[in-house]
Amino acid sequence: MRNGEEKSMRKVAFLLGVIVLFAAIGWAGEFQGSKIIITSVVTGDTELFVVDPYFGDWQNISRSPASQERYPMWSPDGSKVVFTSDRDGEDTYNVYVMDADGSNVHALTHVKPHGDCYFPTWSGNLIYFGYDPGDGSEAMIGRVSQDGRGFTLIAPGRDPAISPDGKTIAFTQKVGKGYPVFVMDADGKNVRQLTTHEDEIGAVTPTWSPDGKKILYSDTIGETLELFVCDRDGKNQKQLTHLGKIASSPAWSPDMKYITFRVTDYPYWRYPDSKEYVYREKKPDKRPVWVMGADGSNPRIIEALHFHCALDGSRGVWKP
Amino acid sequence: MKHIGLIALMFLAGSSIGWSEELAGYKLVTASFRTGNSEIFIVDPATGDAKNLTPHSGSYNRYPAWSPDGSVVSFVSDRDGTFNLYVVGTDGSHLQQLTHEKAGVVAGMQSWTADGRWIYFGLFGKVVGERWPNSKHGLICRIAPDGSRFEIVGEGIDPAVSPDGSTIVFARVLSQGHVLFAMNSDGGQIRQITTHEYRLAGVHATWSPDGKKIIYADQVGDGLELFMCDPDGKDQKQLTALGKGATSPSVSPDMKWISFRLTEEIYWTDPARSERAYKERKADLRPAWVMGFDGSNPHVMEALHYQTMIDGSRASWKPR
Repeated sequence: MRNGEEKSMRKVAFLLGVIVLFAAIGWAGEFQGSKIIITSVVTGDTELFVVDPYFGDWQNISRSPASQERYPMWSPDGSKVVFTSDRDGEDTYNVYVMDADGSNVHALTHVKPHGDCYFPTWSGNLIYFGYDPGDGSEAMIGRVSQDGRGFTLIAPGRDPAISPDGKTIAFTQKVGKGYPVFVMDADGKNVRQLTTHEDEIGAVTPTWSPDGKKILYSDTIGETLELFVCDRDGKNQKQLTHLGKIASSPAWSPDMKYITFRVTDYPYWRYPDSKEYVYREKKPDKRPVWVMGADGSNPRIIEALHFHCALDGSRGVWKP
Repeated sequence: MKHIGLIALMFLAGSSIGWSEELAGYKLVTASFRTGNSEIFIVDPATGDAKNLTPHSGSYNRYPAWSPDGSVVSFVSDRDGTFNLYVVGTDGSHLQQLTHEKAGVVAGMQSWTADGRWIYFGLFGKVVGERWPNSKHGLICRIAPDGSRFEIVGEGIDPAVSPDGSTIVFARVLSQGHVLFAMNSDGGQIRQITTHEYRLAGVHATWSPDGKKIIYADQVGDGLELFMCDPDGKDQKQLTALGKGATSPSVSPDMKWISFRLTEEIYWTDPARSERAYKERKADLRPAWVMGFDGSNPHVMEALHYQTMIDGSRASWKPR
């Protein structure tokens, strides 16, 4: 014990008590029992971690230092995780599935070199994902079954999310200057535009509520990106965040009380030079995961997910 | 657009990153406030796994130290009104309180003998004058890991017992500041082993696992650097030259590595600055670093970069 530290410790004992009490009130056990899966750069590459936001435990479930792992998503029952990885070839991201403890990994897709699968979501035994062919041709939305059969490119689009009932895909595609939210049937038919504002920043990342009645998405307010919610038919659009930053990649808690999302200072993915810089430097303190009430109330950082999170648009996804 | 990218690069620039695949297979225990409270975490520096041993105790937990077989961690917590000594299994089970001091007395800075029979630690506060007349330092005590056989063995701060249990190194304040002392485990044969008296405290010496070297902090200019010497004080060698506050070293069981904490500011010598540090709990000012046993290649351990060690807690290596 340091002499000076000891003296000052007694003087601040009361203050510390107040601080600890405040922190405890701030948490209030509200996330006890929750698990959130994220991508993290804490090991130097990107790996997938299951994080307990209440206890602060982190478990690396991908453990593949020779490759990049991204875009984790739980199976509907929480027993498996689907994600993307470049382990079978640099600059080519395929869809993989594994048990939630990291065992039994196998590939579901085998796309062409430079192809990029991203944002997988899961309903029933089908996994839907975004697919950028990497050859300049049109971005598509794909589907594959959880046993790797039935690979299909359904329709043009980006950032797909399958509804919990498996009937509807929310997605985005460019219209005019930017990206509004669309939905279509799971077979690619019956495309409807839900929002009219053309988000020029991108990162729309529409997300279904667990009950399938609402869609969360990002849209531009000036030079910033804020989170919005609307009904599945596009009605009742409501702005949830007012942070004046770049808020994207939302996810609902299974009880629909909370929404996690990531906040960045700058949409670095818009420009090749800033994107390249961010991926090369992997600054650990620029992409915290935030949480707020489902109505947008009380937005704040989840301290256990403050650092090392998600270079890409990976969500902090709540275990079902 | 170009200039926006440049602005982005400017504010994205920040701390540098050092990755740690070289640390595969090791585990460290430390104090972290990643949940909002200061809690004891076992961290794998290669995989980033983190396990909370004191989950939401509603208290302040610090100064963890491994038992020699790595099955138990001792630490201090204020959950019983003041900082008392506890042990807990590394799976979080079998929590036991060892000391029962009352308000005004603070326990801290433990170390174990290699045979697991004794935990040596310090007691500070008003107890000093009551139990050790004319004392101006803290008390150096020992207790069995089951809470029995408590003894006061001497006077000083920052005690660390040698692995063979024969020698305690500790600090005392002479007219010009702190220096390092040693004594036998029964409190006899007190001898001064360093001569440089300095004002910054944070001596916090540790032993190498083979018992042949002592690593401690000493002042160089306005900073604290780590030094190594023989148990008799000979062969003193400066290990770090970082110009900041390098303290709280720990040597890996294979004697390849030394971990330490590096503070931007030596706040504990000034009650007001110390109070501010504890109040603000800034997450990025006290990373754990690692270097070779000879002081080579010092760098941040990314898994222990943030939210660690606001007090003088070590990042202690698990024995093998």
